[in-house]
Amino acid sequence: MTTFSLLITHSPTNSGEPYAAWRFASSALRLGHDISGIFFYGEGVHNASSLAVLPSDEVNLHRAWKDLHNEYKVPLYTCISAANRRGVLSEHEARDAGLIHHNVDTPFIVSGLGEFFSLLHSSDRMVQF
Amino acid sequence: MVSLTLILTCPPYSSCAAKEHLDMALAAGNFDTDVTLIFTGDGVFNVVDNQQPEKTLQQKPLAKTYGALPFYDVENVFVCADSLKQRNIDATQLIDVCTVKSASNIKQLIGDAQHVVVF
Repeated sequence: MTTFSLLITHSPTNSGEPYAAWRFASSALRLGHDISGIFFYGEGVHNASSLAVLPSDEVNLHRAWKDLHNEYKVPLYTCISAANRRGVLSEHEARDAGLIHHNVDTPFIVSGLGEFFSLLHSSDRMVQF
Repeated sequence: MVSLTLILTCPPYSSCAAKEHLDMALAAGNFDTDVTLIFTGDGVFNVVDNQQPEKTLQQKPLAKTYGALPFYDVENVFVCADSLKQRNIDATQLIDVCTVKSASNIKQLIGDAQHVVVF
């Protein structure tokens, strides 16, 4: 059994990487491996936005990550600085910035880069998508 | 000690990649992580000295922050010689903190790395 952590640096709309990451994570967990956490950085923070509305016959990755969390309790971290500069905000940050809307909710956790390094230290392999 | 190799392949100023690459490099020291930086492909433009993007692009030059890398215990900063040659950049044009290495040496470094993140 291997403990993985995942680093997602692409958005669902400009790359197939996040979908590949989700398939990798689902398969690894189903096979009994462990994923200590998934860290969304760079363009990857768009995965955390709950305001993406997709046609019903397309994969909604935001929802897929949530389902993965609900089934396996994998923590989902979003880098705060990468997210904020791209308009991906939790209610708390939106309020601090005087903005009305927010698009990050649980189970996504807005965190610093420290969380990425914690994952790096607590896993056998970090895989970037 | 965990070691992390951060590869930058993107040019400066056209995306957040260089900034986020640097943010991760600077944070590594605070979290007991030994970091190696590799600049290859268009990423080598980031370490060219005397950049003045303030007026035309309204951005700050990252090269100044790269100069501070030794203060963050980031000593391993490698630039691909072949990428420089392809772009007609001379090693003397680079900021001081870099060491130029051949593409085969860079390949070896990446092969030997514990963890790798590509920007």
